[in-house]
Amino acid sequence: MGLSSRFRPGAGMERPRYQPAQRPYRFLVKMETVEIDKIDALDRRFCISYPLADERLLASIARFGVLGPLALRKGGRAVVITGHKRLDAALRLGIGKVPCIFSDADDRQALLVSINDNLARPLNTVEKAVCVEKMAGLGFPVEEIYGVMEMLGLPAREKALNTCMAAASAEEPVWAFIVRHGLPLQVVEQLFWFEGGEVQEIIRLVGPLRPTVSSLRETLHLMMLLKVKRGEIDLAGLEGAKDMEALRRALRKRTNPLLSGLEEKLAGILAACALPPYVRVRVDPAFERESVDITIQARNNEEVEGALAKLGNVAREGLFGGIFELTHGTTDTI
Amino acid sequence: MSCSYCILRSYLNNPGISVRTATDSIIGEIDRAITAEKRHVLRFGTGELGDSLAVDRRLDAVRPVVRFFGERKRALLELKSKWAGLDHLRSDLNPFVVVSFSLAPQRIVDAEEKGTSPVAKRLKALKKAQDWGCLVGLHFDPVIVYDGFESDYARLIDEAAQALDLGRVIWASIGCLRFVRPLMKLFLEERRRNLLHGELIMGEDGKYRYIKSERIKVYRMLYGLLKAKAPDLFIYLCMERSDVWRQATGAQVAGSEDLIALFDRRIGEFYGGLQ
Repeated sequence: MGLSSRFRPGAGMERPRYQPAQRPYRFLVKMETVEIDKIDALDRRFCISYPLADERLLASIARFGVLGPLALRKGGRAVVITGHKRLDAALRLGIGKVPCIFSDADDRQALLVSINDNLARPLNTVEKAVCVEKMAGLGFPVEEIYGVMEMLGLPAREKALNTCMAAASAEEPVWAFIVRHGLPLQVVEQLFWFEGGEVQEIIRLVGPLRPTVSSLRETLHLMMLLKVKRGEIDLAGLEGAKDMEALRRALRKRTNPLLSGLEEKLAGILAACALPPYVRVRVDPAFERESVDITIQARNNEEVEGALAKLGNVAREGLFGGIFELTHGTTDTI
Repeated sequence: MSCSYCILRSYLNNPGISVRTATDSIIGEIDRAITAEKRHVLRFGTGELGDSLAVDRRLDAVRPVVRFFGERKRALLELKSKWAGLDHLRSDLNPFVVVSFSLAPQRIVDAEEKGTSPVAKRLKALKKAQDWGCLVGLHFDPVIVYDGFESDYARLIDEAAQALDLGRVIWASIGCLRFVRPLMKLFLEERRRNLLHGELIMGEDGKYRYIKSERIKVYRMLYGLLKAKAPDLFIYLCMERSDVWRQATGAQVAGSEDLIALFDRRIGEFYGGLQ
């Protein structure tokens, strides 16, 4: 899986010119019951659903049967336009016949029907990417694709379109990762910044750490930065992190060794200060500001006296001096 | 001309260049500002959000302004550029125009300043400006940290010292690379290794910049190299904190007033006070 399949609008790809439908397509409203083996379940050219397996739908169909008809395209072995999940559930349950309606829609019309049908529910990022990729594959003009992208809540831009193309052509484990963690397109874009093999390795590394979208976004940012800085990224060297925060820290030590060193020194000094919880020392996180904020949140006179006495001792021991050395920016920290 | 680190990349949505042609009204505005100012010699520039010279040979837009400053004799115009095309202005250049060029090692010019003049040409243009009676400015901004940048900058400053009369450099600025958040995204996308090599932190102003200890080291190095060539050279730091000024140069510059005072003093050395 790589980015070679990126779709570049107007970049010389031979695509059929889009023509608005000349001929209205029809759905035959008469519902028929069709034997399931008359349907080509493997032809998923209009399928935008991922994952197909839906346990709640399976339970419902097991109890009530397939109530809503599948939309099929006429001719030869029927191709499903809408109802892939119902068909999947029916097959898993060994149901022999399903209700269907037939249409004579052409490929583009059928795809739009499928997309339109699915817009009634929230689509995940993989499904959105598949919509875009299938539209591009059927030669819809870019403006038409952008229009659908806007309906799907995606930015109507070439970069987003390329990310969709890359995501849609990714392998199943990547799809599963994207959907399991609810990744928005922006994070998917970060993921596909890496090469195919690296994407797999990243998923293997972070998957078990149960990342949130924001933790993954930050982690991927640090990984990208590290790769640009060093020309490569040693993902194997990052194994062993017990959670996303540990992974973030390990990455940050590599991208920001000086800042990490300052933070460690500061943590050591503050630990040595052993200040009571109502006395706080706040240092600018980037160690830019020279000054340090010391706050006392006292509830009574004793706490004020205790805080001042403690601060006096700490100052006399020179511990604050250590902090100021860090904020002056003149000490080597690694 | 397309500098990869240019802030304009973060907010421009149109690749075109707009040039204001209402020179008379601009000059009128400048004239009123000069008249109203009683304490300082004002400095004006045309290269703040663009390049003073890049398209000027074709458009001839700067000439009336250059002439005005030569006639007005009470304020300075700084032309800041990375494009060594100055000859067309020769007949109008005058001592109230400071010709300034950004200077960076040729390696950075090649990689990050596409379409600009090579360093050697910029230095030649500066020398011409000096020969034609102008003072010149040197802007080492942005300074980019990469493997070997120290020796490249030492060579660059050597070349500048050989090419120019440093006694007629009115000012030199040093500013480390800094950029807004959207540019970080672009630099990552474009895998700009030079721009992302140094250790970057997010400052209180929402800009990425090198961590303070690294900036101080860079400033000390460049300040030292320049002062070794020209001890009297006025060097200022761009957009820097007062503590960095102090640590890097020993100067107390707490705010813009202090910086303006330094400029006033330097201008006074060359031009005297307001007349």
